[in-house]
Amino acid sequence: MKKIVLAAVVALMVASVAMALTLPRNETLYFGGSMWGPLTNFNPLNPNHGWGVDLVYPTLFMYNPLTNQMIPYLAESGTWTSNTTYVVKLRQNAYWTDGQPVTAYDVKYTFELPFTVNQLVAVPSLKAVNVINDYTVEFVFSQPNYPNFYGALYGSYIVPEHIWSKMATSDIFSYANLTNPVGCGPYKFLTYNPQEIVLERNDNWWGNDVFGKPAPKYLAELAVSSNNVALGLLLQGQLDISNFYLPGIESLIKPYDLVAWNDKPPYMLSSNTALLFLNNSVAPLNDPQFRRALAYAIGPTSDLTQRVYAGQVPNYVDPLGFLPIESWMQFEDKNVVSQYGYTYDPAKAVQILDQLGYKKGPDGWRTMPNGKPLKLSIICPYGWTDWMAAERIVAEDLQKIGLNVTADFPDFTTYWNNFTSGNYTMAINNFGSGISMTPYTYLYWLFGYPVEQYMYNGNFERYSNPEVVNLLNKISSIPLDDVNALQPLYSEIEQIFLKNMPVIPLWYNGMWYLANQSVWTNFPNAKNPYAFPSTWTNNAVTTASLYLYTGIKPAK
Amino acid sequence: MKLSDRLKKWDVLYFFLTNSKFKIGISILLFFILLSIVGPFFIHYKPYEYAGVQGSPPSLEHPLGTNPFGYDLYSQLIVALDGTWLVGLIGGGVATIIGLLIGFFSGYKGGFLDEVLMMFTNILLVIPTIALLVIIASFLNSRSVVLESLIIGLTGWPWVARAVRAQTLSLKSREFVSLSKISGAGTLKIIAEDIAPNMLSYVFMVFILQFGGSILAIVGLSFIGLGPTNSVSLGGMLQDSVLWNALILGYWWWMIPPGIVITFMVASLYFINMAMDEAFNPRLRST
Amino acid sequence: MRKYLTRKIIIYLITFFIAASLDWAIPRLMPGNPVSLIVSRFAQASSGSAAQASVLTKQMFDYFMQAFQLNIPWWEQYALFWRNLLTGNLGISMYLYPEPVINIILSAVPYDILFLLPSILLSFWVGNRIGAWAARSKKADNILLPTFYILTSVPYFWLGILLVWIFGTLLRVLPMSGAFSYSMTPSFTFAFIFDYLKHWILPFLSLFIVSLGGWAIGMRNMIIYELESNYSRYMGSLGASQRLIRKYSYRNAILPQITGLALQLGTIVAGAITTEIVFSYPGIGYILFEGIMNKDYPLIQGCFLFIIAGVLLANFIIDILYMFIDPRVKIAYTEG
Repeated sequence: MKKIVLAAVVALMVASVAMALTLPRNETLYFGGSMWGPLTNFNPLNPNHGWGVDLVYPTLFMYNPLTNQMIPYLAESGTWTSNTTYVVKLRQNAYWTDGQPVTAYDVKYTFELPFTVNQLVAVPSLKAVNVINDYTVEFVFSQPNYPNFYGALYGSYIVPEHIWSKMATSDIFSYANLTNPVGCGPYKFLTYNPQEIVLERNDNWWGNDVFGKPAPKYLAELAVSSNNVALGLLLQGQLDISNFYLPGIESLIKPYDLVAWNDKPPYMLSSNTALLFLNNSVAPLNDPQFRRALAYAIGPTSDLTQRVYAGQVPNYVDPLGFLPIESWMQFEDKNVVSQYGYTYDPAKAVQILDQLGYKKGPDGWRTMPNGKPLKLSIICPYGWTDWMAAERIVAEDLQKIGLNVTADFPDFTTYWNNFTSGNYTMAINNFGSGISMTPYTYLYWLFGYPVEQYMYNGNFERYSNPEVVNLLNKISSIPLDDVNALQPLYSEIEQIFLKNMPVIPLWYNGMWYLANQSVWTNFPNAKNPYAFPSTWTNNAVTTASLYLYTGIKPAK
Repeated sequence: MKLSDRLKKWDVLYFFLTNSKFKIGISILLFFILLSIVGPFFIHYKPYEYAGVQGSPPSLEHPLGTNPFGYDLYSQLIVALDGTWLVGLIGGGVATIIGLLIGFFSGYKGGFLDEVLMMFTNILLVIPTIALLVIIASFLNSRSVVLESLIIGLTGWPWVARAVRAQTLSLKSREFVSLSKISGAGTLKIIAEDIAPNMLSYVFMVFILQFGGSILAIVGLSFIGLGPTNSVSLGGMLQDSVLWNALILGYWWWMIPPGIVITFMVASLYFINMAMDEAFNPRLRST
Repeated sequence: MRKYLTRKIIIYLITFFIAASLDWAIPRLMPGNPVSLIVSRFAQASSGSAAQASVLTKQMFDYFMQAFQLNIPWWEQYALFWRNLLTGNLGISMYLYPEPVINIILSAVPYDILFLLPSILLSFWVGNRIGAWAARSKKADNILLPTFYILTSVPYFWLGILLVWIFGTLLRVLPMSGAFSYSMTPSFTFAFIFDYLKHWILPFLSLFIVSLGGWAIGMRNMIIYELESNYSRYMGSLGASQRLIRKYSYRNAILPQITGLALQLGTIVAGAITTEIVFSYPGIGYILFEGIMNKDYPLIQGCFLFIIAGVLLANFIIDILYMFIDPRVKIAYTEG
């Protein structure tokens, strides 16, 4: 027995890093919310990478959803020199941590890698990336897809050519990159263990003069499996920033002097929209009038959020599901919404159903116009407690207008298989409705993909309308800032959306964010919105949160 | 049957019924049984019906309060009780019967049959219940209480079989079994007359352990998100309350009662078992 | 003796073969393709550009079908599985791609050994002692047994959460989660070991307390049963001391207890999942939970194989021990 314990102790010590490091509390920022298991790779080219690659491998630009601005990062500027050519000038003072300068060759290498590594995806219609000189690079397109190219500008982490090009092409995608990764960001990869990832500030960072020096010497992202642990750590000041969803927290914000984005409800910014997907390929959900009746029964202003999220998120949702951010809202046509939109109006829903001939049967439930029984079911993954509660409320809303709707909770795999194969009637989902630079990403996710046997990427509702696809294609070929050219196209899609209601927006999910001020202060909030309050490593939004780390201050 | 034997039987029953542990155990158990029978008459809401107030502490209107979703917790608890009985009976019963049969024969017959049965037992033993539930979860849109109980029973018996076999091995090499063997009694006769009665208290213990074990098993499965999906269960209530930080947020009435019900329900069975033990083993009777 | 051992080893090898084959077959019996799940996760991770996702999906699908060798006939997959297994290769995790499963498991094992072994063995030892004591002292029995019945009826994780709440949130004397402070990195220093032990107490206690009751009850009942047996009475009538009878009873009663222990050692790894989740304790149970939640079949398979091997090994050791502890078993075996 003693031998076993001894062996175990030895094994633990051997398995562990031989370095005894204790992070000083007042120089370390602890946060969590996007890592649930141990770190296994720090490869910026692998979408499954761990947290923090954006702080080690900067992008050409950052995007700040609060101000709807592209901020030059490794780039100094970017301009379209022709309809098909985009020229990026790089900062000349940027260095990799091994001392090599960051050059146009690194950019060319990164963007052209997908041409040879087939697990990576190239920017659509990108023909070539040409090096003009060491610090100028040119992107040449056949016909640019603006939303996707901009997405890549602020979403593609630049890797050092002089290191990565030594690797075999077949190894690049699966490379773990856990031993001294060479980056050029404000932080260096320091260490990791099953509980956390730790980054250390790069004190000689070239960007200190440009962006300011980040305040914490160490950043530690914690892997916490349950949110009651996360809540406990936050309340005790062991966790500085929580990007976990913490139900019920609203009652503790004031007593514990926590920072939320707003100091009154709704406490959270919105980060994506949860929608009710209606399977457009099955009766009666293939009838636009029937779908509109459902929209009236559910409405954009029911008490759903109050009953589930109790003030953490807004108590309304946009009828189109557009997020309340400038980049999306600027394209919402108020006239279209007021003319074709819907409100919470169960009486109207009843009226529509009566007109359509969905009469009530002897059991009190409505039947199909031909008298056949009508049974519908809503699905969301089992164990997603807040979604389950919301789903029950939606089911109640629909039962009130006489529809036999059950709320079902399959296991996630079953949910996902049924959802992607069209083997469902109604389902809740939000996977592709996140913040971006243009509502195109949201609309493309909803309607852009042609209906196939299995839908993995979008159009889960199986709505088939060539007109919408055509409009989306037109939108993608117009520069994002050409509002005058884009608006009519968006208005048209919005009109089709509201007339047909292939999906029904339900609620805004929060950008869950709370901060404890015992070690660090000056956290961003609505009154001091200097950074988007996210520590998630997500292509769309994290890069601009560099300002979060430069903006906070030590409490003492 | 001799008169003295009959008297002895009554004697066992007498001591069993007057035992204070039995009284405590049966009182708790009866309380829960009564709660399952009478409780539903005082339910004013469906388990997942919005009861008007969110997160209210226990009151006359809501004896166990409501949770932050506005569900009446008394209603949830009463409905969940039914499922809990079912899990114990089916899960515990199935495991005990299969385990006893296999353990008896394996241990008594020995040899090749023993090896085969034990190999079978060992194989089932090393595949944790969770594995089967993951597979079944993916086949079905929903997992029912009965189905989960059956799986718990069908995967829980190897433990019983192993223990019973060890006990049988010990018993069969004892003098009275050898005597019966010499006198030419058949296998079944020896098992029924010599071995089984000697294991009676053990059988009770095993069943009660399995009954309680099944309840605890489904609670554990519920906690990791593999519980019944189509009905409210005690484990499901606990999972919800944990996910919702009930204790830290002060909703103790959400987290504590289901745990207490589980604990005392299982414990009451153990008390009864203990009383039985004392009744069968006169030396242990307290005077 | 050697013949007996050889036979046992062969049986255990066959058992392992069948169990491992079942373990291999289980995920493949499932409907739907596990690769589609991981692919959809990758597609969502690159949500910055919508049109890219479609292309990505198709390429990723082929890539992972190949990476996880799902595109070859099943008998080849099966043969490959055994070849890999014999070389210690348990495949590559899907959820923690591209980490080999064996590395993930090995990184969790030390925490498990240090957390589970003491909990199991100490609760076994203490529980049996207390159980034996309770069996001979009616006073102790009347107080201890009800307590243990209640303790053993408590769900592990519920007790764990209560402990965290009391000691972590209300009293703030012990850390609430993790295997060591987030400000530490594992090292062989006094500060770290002290920190580790502080984090170890609550998970240890929640497992120890609950299991303790079970062992004590088991032992108490066994002893009672043994004391009632004919040989005890016979010994008593021969004038043997109560002490001697109890000693023999204990020796006999410990047998089924040891059987239980052998089985506990394996299944408790899976059973301790809930405890490890409550405490965010990075053991194999936690890894298995992550695997289940993320449908990471190579990882689930790897964890199960590990548990299978552990249980079989424990049972084998117990079988050998049995020969020495209980001579009757040896006779029963040779008798056929």
